[in-house]
Amino acid sequence: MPPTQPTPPLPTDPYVVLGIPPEADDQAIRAAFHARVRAGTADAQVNAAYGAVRDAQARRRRRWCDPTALIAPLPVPRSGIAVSEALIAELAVLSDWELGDAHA
Amino acid sequence: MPSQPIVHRIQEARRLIQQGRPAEAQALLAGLEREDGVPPLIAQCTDLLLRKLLRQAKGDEFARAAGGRPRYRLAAARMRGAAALQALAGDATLPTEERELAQWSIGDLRTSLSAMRRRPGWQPLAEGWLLLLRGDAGRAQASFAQAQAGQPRRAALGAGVCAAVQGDLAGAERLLRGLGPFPQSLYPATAGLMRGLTQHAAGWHPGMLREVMQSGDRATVERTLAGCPQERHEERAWLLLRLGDLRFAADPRHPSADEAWAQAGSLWAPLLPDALKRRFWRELACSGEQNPHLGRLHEVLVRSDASLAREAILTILGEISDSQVVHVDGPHRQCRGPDVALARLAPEWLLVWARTANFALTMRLHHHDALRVFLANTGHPQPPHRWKPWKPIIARLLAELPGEAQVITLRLAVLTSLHQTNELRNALFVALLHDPEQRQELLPRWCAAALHDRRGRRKALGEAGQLQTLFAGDLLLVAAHLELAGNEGDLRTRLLMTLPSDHAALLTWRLDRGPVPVALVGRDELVDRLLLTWTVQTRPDCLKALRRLLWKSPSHLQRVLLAVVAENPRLAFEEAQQWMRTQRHCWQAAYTVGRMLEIMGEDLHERDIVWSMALDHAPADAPETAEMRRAVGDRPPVEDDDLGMSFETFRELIKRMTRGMFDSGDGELDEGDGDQDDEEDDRSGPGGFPSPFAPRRRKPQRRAKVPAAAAPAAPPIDLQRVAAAAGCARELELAGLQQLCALTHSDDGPGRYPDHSPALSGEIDRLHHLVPYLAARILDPSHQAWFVGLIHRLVPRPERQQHGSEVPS
Repeated sequence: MPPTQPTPPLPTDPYVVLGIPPEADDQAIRAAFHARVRAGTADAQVNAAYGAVRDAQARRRRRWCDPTALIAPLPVPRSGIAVSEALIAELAVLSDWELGDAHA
Repeated sequence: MPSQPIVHRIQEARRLIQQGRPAEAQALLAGLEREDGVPPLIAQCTDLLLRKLLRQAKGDEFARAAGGRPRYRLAAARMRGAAALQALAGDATLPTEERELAQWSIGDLRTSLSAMRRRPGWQPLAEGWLLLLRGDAGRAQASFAQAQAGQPRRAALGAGVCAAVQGDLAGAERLLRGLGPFPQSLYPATAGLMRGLTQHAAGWHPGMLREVMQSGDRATVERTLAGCPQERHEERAWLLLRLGDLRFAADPRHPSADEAWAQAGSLWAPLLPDALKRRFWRELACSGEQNPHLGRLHEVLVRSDASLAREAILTILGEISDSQVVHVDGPHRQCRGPDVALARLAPEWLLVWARTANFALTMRLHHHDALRVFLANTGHPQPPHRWKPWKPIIARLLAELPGEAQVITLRLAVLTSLHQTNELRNALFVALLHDPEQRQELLPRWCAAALHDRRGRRKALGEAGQLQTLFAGDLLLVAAHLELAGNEGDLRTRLLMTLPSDHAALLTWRLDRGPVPVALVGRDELVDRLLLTWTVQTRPDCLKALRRLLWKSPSHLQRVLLAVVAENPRLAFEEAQQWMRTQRHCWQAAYTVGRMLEIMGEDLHERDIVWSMALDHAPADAPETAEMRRAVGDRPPVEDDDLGMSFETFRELIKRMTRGMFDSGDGELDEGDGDQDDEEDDRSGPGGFPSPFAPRRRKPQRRAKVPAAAAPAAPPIDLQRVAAAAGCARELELAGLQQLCALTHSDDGPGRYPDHSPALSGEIDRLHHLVPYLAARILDPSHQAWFVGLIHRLVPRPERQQHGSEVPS
């Protein structure tokens, strides 16, 4: 069998290039770009990425003019589960049977 | 050992429970309880049944199935509410632990944990929960570890929560596995925790999804999609969307990408815009080679050049047949989900659906162009039932681009074209509040919408009040107020509605007093001045109706005309003439005409003559009387008896006699015109003479000029000298004298009248009475005697005996 063709990469995602989340605002985007510039790693790709997401208008244009750009927001990941008083109030007073103490 | 049939029946009960048929299982187990040797199995099945009922949160059935057993009473009370828990806490028949748990369930959390801390064997648990409340998950975990010996299940619960808080979701899931069930309605917080842990256990957490989405690895996406549960539509939609992207990147022509995108859009509605956009781009890229316009569009869209893209789209739209273009009200919007998703589309992009290709053409159009294209392609320029699909899109546009002028314009244009008066009024009001600078354009439109909006009268009145506050000087709001007060058919209101707002300052005073009652019109000078001014300037055809209205109050009309005369003197003067024709309120009319003559810059002698007449009839206490008296001076008033006729009659006599003789007063003599007199007779006014202020129908035809010296046997009359003495404005009188001279100097010689008319003799007689007064008014003292002598010489009294006629009185 012929070897499997390598999957061509997606068009470069500006957020991936800049190393920022898709929800980043103007300040975060600018800070990331300036960090790349200070580090001396800002090439043409970084400049193009920054130009694509530098302000709200550019981002809105990209949403519709870039075929692979997402319009709907990605689900935001959460690192841990926040504990609330309601959760403790429910858990602390559970009976043995509610906890799943099945009949032996 | 239970008998085989009993075992089978228990297994049947388990099967029923698993199948979600607890009622049948309960009936089966109820029969088994009466048999010996099977209590553990029955208890097991009952437990399963109760957990099933708990998961379904069926409180009544749970209570019936539990049968009052102590181990189920806390759960049953929790399902019934706080009152049941309170009752349970006071039930002495229950074990102490159950009662205390019920008490802690309804009390304050910290108080309950403090009470729990004091109970033997529960201290580590209570301290662990208290530490968790403070956010110290590490110490809480240690505290729960101490409770492992006495309360292993509760200690495991606390440890699992600590692990979840610390981010160890896998450990938390392992510790909490098997607990529950925790239905959402009874344990909302716990249910959320368990749901998150379950998702993580299945490998479906948001972080993982994001990693896969950004990985760019087609194999990873396909593998993850294959392991994704079918019921997880959102995650599958995301993966399908990205899978379509990867397939498209590999081969743009292959239809598998389009299929993946379509499936993603159908699985989860919020991803529909993403799917539509991608399908459009693919369609555009694939058809660009066949159609150069599409290729051009693709090129400019990739370059994100909005202006060029707009031109390219407009070019393409000319090539798309009507059958292919389906707009936002197409069949795709029948589904509610996509409908909602479309309503959330980006603002500056409007969707034009292609029915045959089933893709959405997203284009950046100027909104006016989009509206034009939309209306043109629907074939219904004014579709009244099509506002509904527009409404969510425009609402979205306004939310995305608040204050965008194009969006507001689009909204107003759509509403106007669809005759959505109620919505239009509301939109105009919002636009006015947003941009008061546009009031010149928007305020009349708001008034018009409020005028025709029959559903929103109450709201429109409230809006009018607010707009009055913002634009205090604008009359248009007054008009709206009037109109909305139930006076729609009133002409005046319509006039007010269209008034330029520059005139609004005239009614600023009124805004502080509320709406102008209709009865004020015709009594209030400002209102009527405004009306008349505008009418004069813009709508002469309305003048008749307005005049009829205002004549109900002559003294008021007098002031109105005087006010208007400054802006349009000629028309105001004509109005006064018309007024005087009615022969009502004569002195007021005379006063008004005199004032107009003054304002128009006419000779003050003319004014004084008119006012002398007016003084004869004006009441002594009228302010106009004092003014006229000051102007006229101490001269004695002219009596009709002195003149032998009324002043107006005299004036008519002069004009009648002189008409057609002098046009310019340059001293040259024209021949009289008998036809002219006949024509003027048709315009006879009161008193048997033509009205002095009747409009001139036709300019008198200029006749061939004959030198004065050519008049037969005429005495030398130095008209230039007379004119110089009497003033340039005395052409009428001079003309009358000239005609009298011509009449009295016939071929028979001076003093002989050619027709021997008794009427003419009477008129000449009256002229002799008048001449002294006339000379006193129009000449300086040095010329008065000369003038009287001249008249007597030129126009001798007729010899009555010769004609045997009496001068009419």
